Amino acid sequence: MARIRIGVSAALVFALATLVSAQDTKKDPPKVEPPKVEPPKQPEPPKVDGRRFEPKFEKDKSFYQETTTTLTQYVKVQGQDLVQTQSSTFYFKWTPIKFEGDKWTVKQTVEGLKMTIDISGNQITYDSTKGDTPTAGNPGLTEFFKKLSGAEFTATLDKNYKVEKVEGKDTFVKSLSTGSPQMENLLNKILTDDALKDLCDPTLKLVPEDAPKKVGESWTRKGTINLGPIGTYTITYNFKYVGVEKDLDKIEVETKLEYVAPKKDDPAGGGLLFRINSGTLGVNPEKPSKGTIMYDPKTQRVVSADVVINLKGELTVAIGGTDTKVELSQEQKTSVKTRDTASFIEPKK
Amino acid sequence: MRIAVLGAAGQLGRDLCPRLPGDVIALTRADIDLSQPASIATALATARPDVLVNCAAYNFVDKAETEPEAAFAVNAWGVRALAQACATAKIRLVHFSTDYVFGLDATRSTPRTENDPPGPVSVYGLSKLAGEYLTLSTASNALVIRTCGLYGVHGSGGKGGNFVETMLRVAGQGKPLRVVADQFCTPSYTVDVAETAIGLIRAGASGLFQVTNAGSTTWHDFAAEIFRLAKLQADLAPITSAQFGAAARRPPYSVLSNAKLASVGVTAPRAWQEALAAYLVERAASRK
Repeated sequence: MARIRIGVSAALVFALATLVSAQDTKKDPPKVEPPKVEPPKQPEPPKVDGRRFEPKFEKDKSFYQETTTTLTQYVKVQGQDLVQTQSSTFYFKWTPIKFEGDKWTVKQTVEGLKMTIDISGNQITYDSTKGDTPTAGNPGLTEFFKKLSGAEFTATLDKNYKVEKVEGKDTFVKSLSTGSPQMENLLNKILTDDALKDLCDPTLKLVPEDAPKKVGESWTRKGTINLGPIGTYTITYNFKYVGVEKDLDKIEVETKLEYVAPKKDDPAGGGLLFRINSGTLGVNPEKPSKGTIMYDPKTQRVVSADVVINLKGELTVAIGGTDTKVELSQEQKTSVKTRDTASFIEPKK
Repeated sequence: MRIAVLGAAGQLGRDLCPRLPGDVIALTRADIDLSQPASIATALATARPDVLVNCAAYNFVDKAETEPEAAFAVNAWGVRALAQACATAKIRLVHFSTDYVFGLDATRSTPRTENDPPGPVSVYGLSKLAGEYLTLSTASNALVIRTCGLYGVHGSGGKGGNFVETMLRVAGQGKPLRVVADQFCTPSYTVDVAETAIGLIRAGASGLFQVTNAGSTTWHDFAAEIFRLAKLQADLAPITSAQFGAAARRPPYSVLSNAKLASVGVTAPRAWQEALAAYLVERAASRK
C-alpha cells in the first residue's frame, strides 16, 4: 500500500513541476528541446523484514482467476443414504477500477463457468465455454447458469485488503430470479452481506492483519459468514509461511469451522422448505482440512491455491411439526489459479 | 409391451388400467408396499414389465404434518427404491406427482411450468418433491407426471370418495357448504389424465411433464359448477383457507401449464368444465 501512495505523490509532484514549467514558458519561451522525462516508475516495494502477501493492483489492469471446487456430500436422513457430488469451475475477471484514500475498489466479473452435478448417479452438466448448449439432465438450469455467467460485483477493500462492501447484489438477484418472487426472496436471504464479501474476495484472506511474516511464522484470519436460514459459520484460517520453492512463497493453511444454527425466533430461519433448528457441524477430526498456497512475491499475486475442507456433523431439521436428524459429511476441494490473461477460458465454439 | 400399474385399485389406477395398451399387470399394496421396499424386487421379477406406472402414494395431506416419516417412507424413500429396482431391471418408470410441490411463491398468478422452481408449503408436498427428484435422479429414462386435484368415478379409497362426490352428497343432505375460494388450481378428471399419460408413454417421453385439465378455478367455483351442471340448489358460500383451518397449508396458486405436452406431440386435456360435465355423465351411467 505504501508503494502505491508513493506512486501517487510522485505523479503529483511531476504534474506540479510541469505546470510551473508551463507558466515559466509564457514568460520566457525556451530555445532548447524540452528534457525527455521518463514516465514515473512503479516504486519498488518498501524494504520490509518479511512478507505481507498483498495483491498488486494496477488501475484498469485486469487479472483472471480460475476457481474449481469439487464437493462430495454424504447425507443420512430418516435412515436413508444420499450421495451428491458437484464440481464447478468459475472463471473470474478482476479489474481494479479505483484507488481512493487507502482503499481499492475492484470489479469482479464471472467470465464463464462449468458445472457438473451428480445426484445419486444423475448428471447435470453445463459449460458456458461451449456456447448456448442446453444443460444435460435439467434444461431448466440452463437459464440459471447462463445468468451466472456475466454477473458483476464491485468490492471495496480496506487497507488490509479485507472486503468492506460489495455492490451489485440487487441486479444479480433480479437477474437470477427472473421474476420469481420465491427465488428472489430465497436469494436475498441466503446472499447476505457476509456471503457476498466472502464470494468477492480476491485475496483468499491471505494478507495478515498485523506485521509482515518471515519464514516459519504463523498468523490467523477469522471470518463469520451468516447465511440466513442456513445458519452462521465462523471460519478460522491458520496460515504458516513455510518457505520458498522455485521463487514462490509457500504458505500452508489449516481451516477450522464452527457452525451455529439460526435462532428459533429468528425470522431469517424461515424461507427454506425446512427449518434448521440446531446443528453440530465442524471440521472432521478424522480427515485433514489443509491446503497450500503459492504466492509470487515478484508479481505480488497468489499463483495457485489448493485447499481441502472436510466437514462432519449433525443437523436437526424441522419438517412440518417434526424434528428430523440429518447426518452430514462432506469433502470440499478448492483449487485456484491466477493468470494475467484469460487464456484458460476456452474459446466459445 | 407389458405395463404394470402399482396402485391399480386406486382412483387413477382404475381408470388407467383398462385404457393401457398391451398386457397390463395390476399391482396393489399387497404386491408392493412402498413403505416396505423389500417387497419391490420380487414383485417386479414376477411381473416382468417393460413399463411400471406408479400411481401409489401416501396422500393424507393434513396427517403428513404430524407423521412426516410415514409420508417420506412412501413418497420419497419407497419411490427411490422403486426407481432403483426399475433402473436395475431396465424397466421404464412412470411416476405421478402433484401440484403441491408449489406454493411458496404466494404471489404467482400465471400457470407454472416444469422449469419453475418448486417450493412446497406442506410435508406432503415436500415428500412428493423429494420423490420427483429421487425418481429422475435414480432412473435416467423415468417419466414424472405432475397432476392436480384428481377426481374419478372410482373415488379415492383412502379418502373415501372425491371432492365432487363429497359436494353432491353434502348438498343432497341439505347441509350448508363452506368451500375455500382462495386456492386456484385445476381439478382434473382421472380419465383425461390417464389418456394423456398413455400418450406420453406412447411418445416415449421422459423427464418431467405436467398433465391437468385446461383452465383454472377455485374449489368454491368448482363446487358451484358441479351444482350448476347437476342442477342442484346448494347452500354454498366461499371461505378463506385460514377460515377452513386445515392442518397443512395448500398452495394459493398451483395452476400447471400443459404447454410442454406439445413438444412431444401429445394433445393437452380438455377444459376442466367439459371434463366435469363428462364425469357427471359417466357417473350417471355407472349408477344405472
